[in-house]
Amino acid sequence: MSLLELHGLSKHFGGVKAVERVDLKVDDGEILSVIGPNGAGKTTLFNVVTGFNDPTAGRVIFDGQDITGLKPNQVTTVGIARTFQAVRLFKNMTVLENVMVGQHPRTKAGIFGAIFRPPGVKSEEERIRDHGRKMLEFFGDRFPWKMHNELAAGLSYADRRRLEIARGMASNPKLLLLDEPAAGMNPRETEGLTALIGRLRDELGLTIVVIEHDMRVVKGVSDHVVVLDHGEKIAEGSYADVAGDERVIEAYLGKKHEDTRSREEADQ
Amino acid sequence: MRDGDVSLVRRAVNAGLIGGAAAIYFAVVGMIQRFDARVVIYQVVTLGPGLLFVVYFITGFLAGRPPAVRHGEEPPPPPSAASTVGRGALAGGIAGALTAALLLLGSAIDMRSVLVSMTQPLLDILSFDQGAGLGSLVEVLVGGVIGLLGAALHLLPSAIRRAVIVGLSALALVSLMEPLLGQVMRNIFASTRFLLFDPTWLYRGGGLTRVGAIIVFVLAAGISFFWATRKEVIRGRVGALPAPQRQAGKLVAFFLLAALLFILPEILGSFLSEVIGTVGLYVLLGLGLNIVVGYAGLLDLGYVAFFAVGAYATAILTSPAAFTEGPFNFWTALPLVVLITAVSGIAIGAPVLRLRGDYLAIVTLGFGEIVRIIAISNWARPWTGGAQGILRVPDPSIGVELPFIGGPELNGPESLYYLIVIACIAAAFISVRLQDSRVGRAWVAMREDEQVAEAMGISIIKTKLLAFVMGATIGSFSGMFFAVKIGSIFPHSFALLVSIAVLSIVVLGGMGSIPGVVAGAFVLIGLPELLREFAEYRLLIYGAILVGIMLFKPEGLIPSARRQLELHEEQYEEEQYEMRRGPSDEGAPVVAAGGGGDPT
Amino acid sequence: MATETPTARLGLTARLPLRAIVLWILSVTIILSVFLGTKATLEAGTFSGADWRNFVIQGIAQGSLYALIAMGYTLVYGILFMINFAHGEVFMAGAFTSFFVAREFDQSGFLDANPILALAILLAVAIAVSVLTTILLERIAYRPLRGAPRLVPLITAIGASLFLQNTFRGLFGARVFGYPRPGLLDGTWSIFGVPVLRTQVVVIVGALVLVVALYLFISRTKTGRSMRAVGEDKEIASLMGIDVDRVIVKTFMIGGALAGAAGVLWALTFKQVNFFMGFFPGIKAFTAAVLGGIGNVVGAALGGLTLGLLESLVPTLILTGAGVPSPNQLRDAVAFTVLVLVLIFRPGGILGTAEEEKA
Repeated sequence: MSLLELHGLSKHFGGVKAVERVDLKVDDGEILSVIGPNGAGKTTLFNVVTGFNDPTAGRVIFDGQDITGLKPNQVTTVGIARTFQAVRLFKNMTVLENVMVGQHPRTKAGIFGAIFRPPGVKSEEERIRDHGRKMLEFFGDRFPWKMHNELAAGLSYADRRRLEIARGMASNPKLLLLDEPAAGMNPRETEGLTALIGRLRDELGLTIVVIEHDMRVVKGVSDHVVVLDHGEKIAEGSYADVAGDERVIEAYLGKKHEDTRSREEADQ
Repeated sequence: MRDGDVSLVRRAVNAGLIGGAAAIYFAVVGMIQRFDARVVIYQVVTLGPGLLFVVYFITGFLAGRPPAVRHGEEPPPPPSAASTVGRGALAGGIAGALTAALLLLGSAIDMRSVLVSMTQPLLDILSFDQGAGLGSLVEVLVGGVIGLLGAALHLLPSAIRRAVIVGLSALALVSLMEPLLGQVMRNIFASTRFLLFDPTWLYRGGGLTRVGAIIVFVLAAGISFFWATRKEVIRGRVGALPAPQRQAGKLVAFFLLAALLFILPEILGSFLSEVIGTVGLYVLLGLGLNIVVGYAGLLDLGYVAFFAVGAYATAILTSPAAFTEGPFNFWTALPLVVLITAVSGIAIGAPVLRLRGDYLAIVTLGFGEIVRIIAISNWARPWTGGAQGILRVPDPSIGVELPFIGGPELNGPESLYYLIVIACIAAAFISVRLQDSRVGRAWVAMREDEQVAEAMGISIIKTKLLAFVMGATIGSFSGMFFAVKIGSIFPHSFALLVSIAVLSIVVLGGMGSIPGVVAGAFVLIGLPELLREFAEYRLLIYGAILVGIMLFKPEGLIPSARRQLELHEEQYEEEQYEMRRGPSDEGAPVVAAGGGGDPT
Repeated sequence: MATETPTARLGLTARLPLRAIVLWILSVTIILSVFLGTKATLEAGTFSGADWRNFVIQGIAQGSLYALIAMGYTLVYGILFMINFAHGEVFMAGAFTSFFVAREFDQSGFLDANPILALAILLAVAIAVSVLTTILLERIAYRPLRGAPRLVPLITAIGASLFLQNTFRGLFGARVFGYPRPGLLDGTWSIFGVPVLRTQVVVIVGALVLVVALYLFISRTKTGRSMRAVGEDKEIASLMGIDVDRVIVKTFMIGGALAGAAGVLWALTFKQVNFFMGFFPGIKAFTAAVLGGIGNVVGAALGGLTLGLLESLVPTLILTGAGVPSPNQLRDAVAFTVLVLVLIFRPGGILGTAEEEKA
């Protein structure tokens, strides 16, 4: 049984078919990339899976549970975390606080716990802090201790992307959805990201679905690739299969394919 | 004249025009005449002309500012002393001229049938009792001179300038605080006969004596100067003290404060204790609204509804005049009141959860008004007493008689003060605890970005409702104390204006800031109670403050200190963390290939 | 550090549509009470046919006044997406200031001798003052805060409202002043055999004319198109050469002018002015704008009429039957209840969509 299954998932906005009858399977421990030209419905797909939009038709099954139409906070509690296309951090919270908030679904202190701070709550707070720092340490020396109490607003762009991922990791999800994590990164940062995604799977056991435009990342991480165009799945398979697929090339209007090819040549 | 000079002159002219407009505004709205009753320095100046002087001074000060240095440009040569004071005089003179124009106009035409404030007493103030013609000239002169003085501040070195400003502010503050400080001194003097506390050297006729004014100014300016020059040294010395001594110092300060709070009603006397009690009620309301607005970011304009529920519930349950003949007294009714309030918090919060910020504000306003209208109506009279309200709310009883506090019945402002202070401290404590907790973080996240917060597993409904319920509960406590304090409740006490007053307190102090709320309550509630002249313009000042704060300092006067973590606290934490984690390679920083050493 | 958290299992209550259930219960209760109350009133026959007729006309007249003020709210909201909480005070400023002129006219006899000219001058004065007030408001309080998060301009508007109210209190005094009415407008006219208060006729006709004029203005003229463009997308409008600031000021001015006109009509109807007179009408007009669909000019007019009728008929038709004593005390509550219900159930209003805007 796969970790995530999409059955005939559709999302229409009035007349616009943003997602149209998509079937998808993601196995435990797999890294899947979702690619396609702009407007293909990739982010909408994420939104439907994570509960930000209700599907027009179809179902989402996660680890055997039907999670179709659940609210976003319920989806996260069930074990799916995500990042956003435009980095959406809590700018006025510190780096560490951002990662601490991410642990909300795994913790339970309420109002009374907050006010009276019994030992159970105190140790929970400590664990939240420790776990948060551990998440940040996963990124090597990117987030040294002295940065933990700095406001997230002051971070560099690449660091903000990393922090968003750290925040997603904090809830110990089984499935992590990354929406264009490499957008705006330079080649060196992109390499680092590719390695990071691999480590997330290898060291933390996460299953990952990535939306990406940068084919170097897609090539570097994917076990499996799915191509969307105009809301429909038009191809799937390994990167090599998909890269050579006629319909995929057409969808990208030919130009993009040449771009990625020449970039690959340049990299070698 | 060079370009820079022209723009400086223009700026001075603008300042003068705005200052003049402000002076005219204060005059026609009636403030100058009303404030004239307050003596600033006995037989020297009252607040009527005093207000004008302040306007001219600030006008001059603003006009005399050196031009702002823009990024990347050469700083222009500093203007000469003559230019600076000249500009101040110009601006002040213009402001004075505008005021003089009003004076002449008012003397020539009787406008009292339209502008009710254009009375002869006002004209006398404006003309310094010199009649319209000569008075106008004097006005312009006075404006110019004071404007010049205001600008001259810029010529002083910054430490001295700050000292002068502090000195003047202290002068104004101590003078205005005469109803409070004077009474306190009289009380202490009456019981201790300690000459230091004899108020007559400091105050006379409702204002400062000449000697007193000089002493206050010199003292305040001196302390400011001293602090500015010795600040680092003192801080260094305190920081160098070993930790246990610093802890001891903090403990001593804490106990002194607690002792002061405890004996305060003795010092203040009846009337002032009552004022502090009212301030305390608003501190409670402010702390409650602070959770809803400051922490969770929900603008509740109907907050008075919770105040009303607390008050009415208490009255209905405990008063023999209400429809329940119940066996409740204050303490047994308390848990029931809390329950009712919590339910009302959910009832009001639930329907509005999905609404956007400004719509939420208006809907809650609507709720508040509906509650008030029903409470005052004949329809609800059997329960709420309609417009007549509910009388004979009994005082809470503590069963024994205690020193200072009184008892067994807690009646009288001195006794109730303790109840209110304890509640305020509890509310502040709760607020502090909530800030730094899982719930507090959820509120901040929700405030920042609701959608992403939901993606973090935060249930928006629960989180918003929690804020409403917490705010409602604290607000209802204020209502409870209000009911027993006044002894009866009338629906007129629960108008929208209460919600707006509480909002003003939170906005002025700083949303999310606990000391800010306390300060805001003292300023916005305490001052009008003490200074009757200000009481008439209370709402005007609230409105001006709301607009002013939003325009110039939206984070409030005492912004919340969320982010201020002391360095050594962090280092201490780091050591603790290292110790907990133990020596292991697990989690040791792994440098990803190609990712390390990236300069960006 | 493998993630070992088992997937959380969802409880039974996870999918309970709690909100929908509560709203359902609420709607049923409301509809039931309306129905029963109406039935009881009609059966009891407390009011005659003529009474009902009067109530309806009264409602339309009152609603016309709300419509005029609501225009200002909806225009500003349509372009800036902010609630101009101080608009009620703009209305008050015009009405109050025109009082002094009216008093002069009355004392000199001009008001009765030349009522039409006198009224025209009063309208001009009121409109001028209202427009001036709203321009100052925009320039000083709103423009500097254009980019700020939505709560900030709202708080500012509330502060401005308080400030204006109390400024006028300081200027003119806290009394309630009796507004004179020219003899021409006393009494009734017979319209199709029905006696209608003359003031009501003037109000209804005046409002109709102004609303139609505004509608034509918005849809036909260049300025009107610019206003709609700025409302759609400020940046693109400015890229197309539209002076956004000027358009915004003009929008405020039009809203202010309508409010000023409404002020005079209101004063003539109720024969009094005072510094607080703008507060409740302001909120009610806002309710009307939301009821009709905020941002929509026709909606504001419809909303105003509907609210006026509801205010007139709910206490009489429903509450009397339901056994509520002194139902007219609750008249103001009708508006607030409508406000709350509309924003909860259908924030888009009558002419809007059922989807609410998310953050």
